[in-house]
Amino acid sequence: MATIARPKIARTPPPRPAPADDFELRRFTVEEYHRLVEVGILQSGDPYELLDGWIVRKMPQNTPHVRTTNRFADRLRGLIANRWDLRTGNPITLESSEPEPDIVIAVGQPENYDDRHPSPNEIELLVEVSDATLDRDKRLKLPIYARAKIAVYCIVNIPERRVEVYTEPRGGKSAAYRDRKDYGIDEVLPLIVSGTLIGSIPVREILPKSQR
Amino acid sequence: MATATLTPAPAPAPRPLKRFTVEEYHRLIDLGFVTKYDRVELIRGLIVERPVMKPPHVIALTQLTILFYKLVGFERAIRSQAPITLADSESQPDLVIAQGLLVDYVKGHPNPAQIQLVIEIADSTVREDQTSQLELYAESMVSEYWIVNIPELRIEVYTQPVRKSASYRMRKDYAIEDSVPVRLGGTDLGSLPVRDIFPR
Repeated sequence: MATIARPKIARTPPPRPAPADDFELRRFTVEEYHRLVEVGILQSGDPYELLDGWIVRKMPQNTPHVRTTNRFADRLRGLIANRWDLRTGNPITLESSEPEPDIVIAVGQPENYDDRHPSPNEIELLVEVSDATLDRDKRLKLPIYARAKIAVYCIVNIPERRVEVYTEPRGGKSAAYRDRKDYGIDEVLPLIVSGTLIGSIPVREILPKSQR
Repeated sequence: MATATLTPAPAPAPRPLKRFTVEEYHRLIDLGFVTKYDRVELIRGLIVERPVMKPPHVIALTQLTILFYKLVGFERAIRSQAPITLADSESQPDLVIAQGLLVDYVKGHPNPAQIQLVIEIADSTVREDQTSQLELYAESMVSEYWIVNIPELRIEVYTQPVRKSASYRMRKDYAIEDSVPVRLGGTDLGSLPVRDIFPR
């Protein structure tokens, strides 16, 4: 047995990070998440989304984010007309997540989703507009979307002024997209839905005029 | 708990997370979100899983409970791994001594004003008990906090909480050959030999 010092007075340890780092957190299933809304612990307008079982607070959207989302959505709507359902900021239901992507193109008509959110096999294209959320969109959401086998994931990368298009999702433990193509500010983004080229959008018309 | 379909947890958890109030946590319990199979507590609005007790922890807890019953008797409420209600937390310390009788807490768990001593037994959780748990109890103005430090074979006694800095002004360590004086609510109740608590 080690030599033990006599009782002594010492200082308390220095401050440390928030408690969540130390503990295994209770996570929630999609069903439980819906239940929380049902019973009113979460209000349907609350700024949360379910990501891999965690109820994560959404980042507040700044002006460039909102404007970029609207510009992109308008362009997309012009191209797809009413052949697909275009949704902005609405939830989609995955196995253990219920994120609210900035833009989703889902098969069918809006009425298809009167009583439920689109599921992965109904999603043709998913867009996240990233400025402050770039890290979350790449590190946290990309594996979630790849695991759900969402066919095309677009990140509108505002800080780096490009659109990143991820395709060929690979599931499993280290889920990712096999293919990534970047479209710079001077390039034209081809819009492929269900394997068909629907049209194209100049990247310049989506991104904010200049970086602040 | 229905977490079987979840993918392996990336570490650390994303931020910021939804934090639950104590009232919401109680509703979750009533609604069946927390079942008899769960060992969870509310820590600063987050529902966290409690680590499984290892054998030395069980022995120390049992010894401590017996010794406290001998010292304190039934004059105070001795609660083992039972909840206490703080502002944004409902933790379950290993041992809590609260003023009054056990039956006084039929309607609600003890709050800091009623709590005379909180004890955490630490084997794998020394760091957490010395940092985040300590800060939580100090901020909640829990007047006395002990850590039964199994790896170091000592009892750390923290007193004089400071809410603002979430720390205790005083820490006194008691080694294996020492006895910890037990003074609760201003009354001397005797002392507790450290040797009797640690499993040998």
